[in-house]
Amino acid sequence: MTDRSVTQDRAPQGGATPARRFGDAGLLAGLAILLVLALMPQITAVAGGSYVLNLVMKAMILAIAAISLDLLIGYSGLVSFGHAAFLGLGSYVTGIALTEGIYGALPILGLVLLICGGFALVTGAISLRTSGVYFIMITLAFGQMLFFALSSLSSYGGDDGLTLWDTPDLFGAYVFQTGSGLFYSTLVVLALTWLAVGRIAGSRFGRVLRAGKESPLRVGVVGFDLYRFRLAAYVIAGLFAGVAGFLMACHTEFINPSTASWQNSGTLIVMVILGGMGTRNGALLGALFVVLIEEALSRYTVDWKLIFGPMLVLIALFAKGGLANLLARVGGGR
Amino acid sequence: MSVVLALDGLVKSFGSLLVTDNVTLDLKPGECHALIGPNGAGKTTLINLVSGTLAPDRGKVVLADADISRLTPPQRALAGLGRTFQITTVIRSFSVLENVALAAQAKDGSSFRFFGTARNEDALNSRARAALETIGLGHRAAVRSADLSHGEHRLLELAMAIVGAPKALLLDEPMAGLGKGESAALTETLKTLKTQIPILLVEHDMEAVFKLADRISVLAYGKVIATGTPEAVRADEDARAAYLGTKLP
Repeated sequence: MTDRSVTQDRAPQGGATPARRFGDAGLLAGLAILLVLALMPQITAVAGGSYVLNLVMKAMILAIAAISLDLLIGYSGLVSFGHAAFLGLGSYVTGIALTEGIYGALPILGLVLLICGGFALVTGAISLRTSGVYFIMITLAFGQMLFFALSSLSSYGGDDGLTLWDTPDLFGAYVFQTGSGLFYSTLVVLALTWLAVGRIAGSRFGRVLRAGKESPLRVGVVGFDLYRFRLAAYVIAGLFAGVAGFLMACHTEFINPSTASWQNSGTLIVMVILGGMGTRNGALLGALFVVLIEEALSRYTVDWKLIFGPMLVLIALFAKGGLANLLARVGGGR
Repeated sequence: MSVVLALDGLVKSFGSLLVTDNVTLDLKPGECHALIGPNGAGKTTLINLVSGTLAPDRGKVVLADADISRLTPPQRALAGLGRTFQITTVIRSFSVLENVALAAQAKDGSSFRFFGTARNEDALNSRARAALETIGLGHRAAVRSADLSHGEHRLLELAMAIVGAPKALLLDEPMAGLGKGESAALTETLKTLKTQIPILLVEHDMEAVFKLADRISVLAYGKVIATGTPEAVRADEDARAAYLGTKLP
């Protein structure tokens, strides 16, 4: 073949290459955010106090769920509108286990993973038969089914939820008790989630997911059964969110069906999109931003959503790629 | 093995409309077998039957002596059927190299590997690079594939199809949308390629077809009305009638 006729050279037209997305810039930014979070107990001791630290912890727990949701939305193109179900399920398994006299963190976490993984496997196997808007609807439906199922558990508080009088212990150590123990446990889980999702996205498995987001047809023709890859991703995301539910139960010492509500699923989606899809830093930033801004705004007015709404619109309009991209642009001087 | 790919009595109808009417044809090693026919002759349906997007009502598709009629499209790809599309479908956000490496990955063990950076796998990358060199796109390996020209997209598709060393290639209008120079160059590439991997070609560009094909089958109303060498088909009355108004070169 003659090069002249077919392949007239064009300069690559800039644009972020995939290398940039998984490259050092994102890694450093993420580590920087995690480092700041790690110093929050010291920072809040000077300014803000335990109230702010509590908020940060709440945001960190939600960030775990949001990062896992980003594996679906950002990397796989699967907009799950039922991700809070795993948060709810994880917290209920934890709460029920504690109520029934199981106190060991490891057996409880084992149960959380088993049940959340099972729920993800069954609902994912059905949901992933659909795509697009139908996938959104069916994940929403499964989320609501779980919400009503949890609400009907009258022996565990029903609609009102249930206060937990115990915390799980790890070989006798109360690392999940509210306070610095739980803070650092959460930080570790968050860091592991952030690392794991990054590794998965860059792996062979993640490459198939990312390609499938753009062209399911192409991925199939090349020889991949995309359904199996997406189902595995759905289960992985469900497991991480289930662990976030466990931490949430420890943090609030309370379980409530509303954790699994569709509003909560929507909030998780907002975190991912606002922060920037397909960059785990985005979901992390999004979670922190939403929790803190909600708190800050609601101090001034009960109608804080009137301010929050337009902010979302502005970010959607002017910060394409979300907060993570905005940060990268400011940081990179682009 | 004297036949690589065989379509054996394929029948497909949509409702009462018979779109594929008992089609039997085969593909031998080293040859390019072109499938031509006027619009609505059922070429696309036939392609879909071969690649597995549609299931035949009757008949079978045999690849290297194995019946692949009941396999899904991904399974057929793994069984050794490479294909390209009429409309380009590459992963636009991936680099050219990564597109081909993705295709190489499909045939290289399990892709349920959650750790380890795929882009750094030398085995996949070097196989991808070799396929790109074969197609003549080696110098564009690092470019984001969204930035390729239309002609280069077609070449990239071809590289993705051949990287797994398929037993047969199914090309659906590879010349569509190419300029004259580009399609001449692609014809040359395919001429070399068919000696290694036999090609079942569906194409509208008659000049390319008559240059490339060792055999041509003419499809009309879902039926193969003529099969033979380009010279024989050119002389065939039925084939001429099917292309009424269209002059065969």
